[in-house]
Amino acid sequence: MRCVDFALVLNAHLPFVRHPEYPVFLEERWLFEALSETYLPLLRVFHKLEEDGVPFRLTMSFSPTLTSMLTDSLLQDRYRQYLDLQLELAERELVRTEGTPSHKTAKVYRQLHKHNLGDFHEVYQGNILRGFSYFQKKGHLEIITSAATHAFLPLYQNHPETIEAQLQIAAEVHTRAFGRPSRGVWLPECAYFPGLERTLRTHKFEYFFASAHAILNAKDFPRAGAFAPLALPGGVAAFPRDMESTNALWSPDRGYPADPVYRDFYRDIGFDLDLDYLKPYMPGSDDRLATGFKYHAVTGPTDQKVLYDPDRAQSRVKEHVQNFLYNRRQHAARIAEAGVAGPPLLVAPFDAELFGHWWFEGVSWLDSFFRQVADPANGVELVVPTQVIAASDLQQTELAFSSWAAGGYAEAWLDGSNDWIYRHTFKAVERMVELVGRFPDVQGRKQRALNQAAREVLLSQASDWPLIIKSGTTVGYAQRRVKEHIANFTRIYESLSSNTMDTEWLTTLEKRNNVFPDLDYRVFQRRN
Amino acid sequence: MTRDRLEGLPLSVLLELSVKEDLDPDEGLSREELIEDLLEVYEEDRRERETLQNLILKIEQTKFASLSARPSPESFTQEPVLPGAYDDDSVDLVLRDPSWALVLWEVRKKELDGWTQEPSFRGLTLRVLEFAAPDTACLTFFPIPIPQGAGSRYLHLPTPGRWYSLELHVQFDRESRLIARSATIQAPPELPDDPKDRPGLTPAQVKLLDVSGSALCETARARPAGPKGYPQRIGAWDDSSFQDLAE
Repeated sequence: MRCVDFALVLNAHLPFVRHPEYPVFLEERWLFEALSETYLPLLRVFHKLEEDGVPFRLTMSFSPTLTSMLTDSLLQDRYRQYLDLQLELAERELVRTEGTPSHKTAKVYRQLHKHNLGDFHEVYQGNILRGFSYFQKKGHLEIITSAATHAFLPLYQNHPETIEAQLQIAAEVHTRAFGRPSRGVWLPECAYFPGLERTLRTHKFEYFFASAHAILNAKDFPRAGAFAPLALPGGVAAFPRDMESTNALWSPDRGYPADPVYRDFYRDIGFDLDLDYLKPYMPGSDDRLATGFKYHAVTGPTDQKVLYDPDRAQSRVKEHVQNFLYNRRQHAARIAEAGVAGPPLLVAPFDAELFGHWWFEGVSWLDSFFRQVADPANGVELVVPTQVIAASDLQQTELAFSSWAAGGYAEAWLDGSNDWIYRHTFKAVERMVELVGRFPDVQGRKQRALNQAAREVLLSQASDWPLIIKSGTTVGYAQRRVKEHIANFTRIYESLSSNTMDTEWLTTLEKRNNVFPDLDYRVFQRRN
Repeated sequence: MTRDRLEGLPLSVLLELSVKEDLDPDEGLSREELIEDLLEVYEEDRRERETLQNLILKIEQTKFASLSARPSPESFTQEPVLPGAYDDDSVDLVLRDPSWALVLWEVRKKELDGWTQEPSFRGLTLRVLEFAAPDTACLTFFPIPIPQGAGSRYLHLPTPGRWYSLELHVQFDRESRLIARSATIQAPPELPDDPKDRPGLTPAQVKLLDVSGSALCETARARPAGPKGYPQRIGAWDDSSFQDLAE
């Protein structure tokens, strides 16, 4: 008996990182790792489910920067080179681990990279979006977009031109890439501010995902708690995040990925083995870095990690899915006791890269999840937001400023470590709007310069840079990126003011930061 | 890197590793001491990496984790120079959370230099204007003096649900001149960290919020303790003048 409607949402996003000016650029590995460990394995799971007649259904968002990178020929070529090296290392690891307990894990890695290479070359001819589009057409996937460069939109609410540009470009890039408009939008970090729904409506977005506290603190008491979407003025639907479902995977103490038998993310041969052995597989680096070859299990709060056993981990995956579904049914019973009529809607949004990249067994977990859900005895029906909207009479209300980060607002993106960014990004928007006013209809070199200026403004606004600066990972790179885009924009602005554009420099810049090639700078026209 | 692995390495490699870890090893350091120092550094790194585990932001950070310790390519270290100032008269108000907003301001240098030469010049002031709704008369306002050379600060928004804008003024002995005005923003309405603390709820509503996970939701976790030292820059100069006036 159906007792739960479940909406699984995977948000796939990476910032635009592409450096043709270097033969090898390490930060491009962010994309390559996500391709190898999440996106390609996920597509293989989808194909296997389809072959086996499993009726899976989920929502995926692809940010426009990720979409641009996945369709970029330079990055596709570089990923092929990365895959070749990974496969070569996998072969050497098979030899190195021969006769040891780690050999079984080495075989898993060899199989992973071999499949990746074959799929990337032969099945998708370098463009994996074809794979996701296929499953969209088949009705398994509802694919949506996100803001153009994943800007944290509430911080730009005083600059409506940014909100408009981020969402208009998102809609356009999505339609070009996936052949149909995006009906929903993933707001970066689920960050909402009152009034945003007007721009969402302009671009025909019918829904977005909101934090749990935004829904539970809605102006009018939410009659179905966190188990139904709410309609905002103008009709855009806000889907709440179900905290119990998401915490089951994310909780630091109780989340499944923390199970001792799963593979440890941090222990990597890149930090353990002889550097001479690893050197050929770390091009562009004089230092050690993670290779993706990891042979230890989470184990527990100790540095004495035990060896990873792939078979043991796989059997734990099935148990965890059973446990997850059992808990959803139990939750549904409690929700019914609290007075919600009919099957409640549980919305579980996750970063896609959680599955496979960080939680190695995560993709297998999804495979097992879809297979077990297909058994009607489990009482869980998979839904996508447009189905829910069509079938519901939504409660009308208003939401307050909110995000899904701990704390609930903009704490991570605006603090003493990263607030210097905003003086410059705000000024860049103002100047971009001014440029559109001064050059409303130009052609040729000026038009190219203005389009590139708009790209640089957008790239400087990525929420990834302040987050990286705040979290202290690759701080130098993030700072550099903000400064570089602001400096590039400023140079174009000043060149246009003095009518002295360096064409060679502009051409180089266009080739380097080539995100959104169809962008029209007039997207930054004044809005008030 | 394990103890066994380190013990199997020649002294020259241990020294090389120590230099890489910025340990600046003393010439008289024994092999055992070198290994101990390296293990300590690796353990510290490991702990740092492990604290990154879990939760939304931590997951996002792991996308960038594999390269976190690497140096930038040589030519990438020549940072572009950001404009030091935009030679503009402006003031921006950016909402951070229900209680705090970031204020950014700037005054044209030539203008400021001219004013500072005048004997009656008393400095720059931010005037915080409070409104019940947009496009209504100002309910009240509070001045905040600006220290010389400052260009940003965090501002406490005292009344939830009210609207605020800022004016940047130059003060003279007998007059105040408006330099720039910010957009008007609304401080979000007063909302409880745990939605179950909403006033006037019925027992049935409390039960519904309970099963909705209100105790787990984003605002109920990891809230900073209070305004002291929060956000980080507040420490530079406090809000006492503002708070005194507000009272």
